[in-house]
Amino acid sequence: MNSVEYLILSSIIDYSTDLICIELERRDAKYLRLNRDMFAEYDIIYSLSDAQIEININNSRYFISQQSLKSVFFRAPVFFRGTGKAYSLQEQLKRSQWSAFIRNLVIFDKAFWINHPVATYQAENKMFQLKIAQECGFCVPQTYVGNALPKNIVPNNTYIVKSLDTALFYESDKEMFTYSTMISGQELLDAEIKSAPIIIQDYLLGKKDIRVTVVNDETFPIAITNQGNSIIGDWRKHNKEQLEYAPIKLPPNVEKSIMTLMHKLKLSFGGIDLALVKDKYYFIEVNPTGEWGWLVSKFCPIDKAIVNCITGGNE
Amino acid sequence: MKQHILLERAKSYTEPRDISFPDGYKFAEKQGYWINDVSGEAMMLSKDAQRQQSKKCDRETGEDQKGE
Repeated sequence: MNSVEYLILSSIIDYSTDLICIELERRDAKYLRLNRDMFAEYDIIYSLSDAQIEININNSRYFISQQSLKSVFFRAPVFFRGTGKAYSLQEQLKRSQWSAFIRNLVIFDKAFWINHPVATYQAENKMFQLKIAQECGFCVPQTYVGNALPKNIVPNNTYIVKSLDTALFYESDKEMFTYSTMISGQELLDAEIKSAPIIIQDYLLGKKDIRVTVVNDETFPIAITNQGNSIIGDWRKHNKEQLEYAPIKLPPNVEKSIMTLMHKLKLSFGGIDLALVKDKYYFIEVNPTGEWGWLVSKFCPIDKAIVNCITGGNE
Repeated sequence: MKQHILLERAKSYTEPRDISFPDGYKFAEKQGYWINDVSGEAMMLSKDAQRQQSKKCDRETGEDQKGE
């Protein structure tokens, strides 16, 4: 019988999760990775009276119980977003019902979650996280959210327009994604925003992008530059091969604000985007399920920190 | 009628029909990671390691597992 102590919930092409499993195996931990896109391939039974899930994968049996399960690494969405993509009936059924099953794993309420879906659900709301960030002492760019413009838009100034939630759309066989976009005040004044709300922020001229991956009480701050220069607009639009990621040290007051933010949002993991302008650190956003795989190096052992967090201790 | 700014500024691309799995590797259920078909070496510890980036390399789910 394989009694699971550490449950890893991910998807089959989530290669960053491979790093977690490799490290767990090295530490001889009793773990199981379940890929949410492969659930239909497993045999799964939950028994309410036994408070246990039995899973059969390729003739290997695993048991997840309240007693055995110590922690859950939850690399899965918490929102069920219908993005307009045309799926077959069978696919719609699988997606909706397995998503619900995964959400229901909160039945394991004695386990330590990285992160708990309820915390992720709350923290993914951008207006909420900006409000909390401000309360934690962060500078936040002037922000408006809605389907109307404030009266003080200056035609010659530059602004950032963002979606309030992931803007992923489908039309025919085309997929569409909207990044954070730089826009002039005049373009904004001429734009159509009535039909759906947007986020409008002041553009931070001369900003330096900083990504801080936070795992429990450890921070991994990285400055992102393009051939030594700060990046204009959304750094994710640039070719990653041209970008440099250099570990940096944050001032103690910024570290403290980060820890307070994580605590208030009840997150043990987060990818925080900051922007440094002169000597001021601005909070941009926190991604509770943020990507980190491409940042791992011997100077930035995020994978090992996550495994420390999962197993509740250092090696 | 004018398009909403988020649609007007959206980047459009042809969606890949299938998720492509790494050539020469298979997913080892027991270990929970991709291994080389022949040597059994973990893909992420090999020269073929695939480092996920944010947003655009995660088309299926939007940034950071946020999609369906």
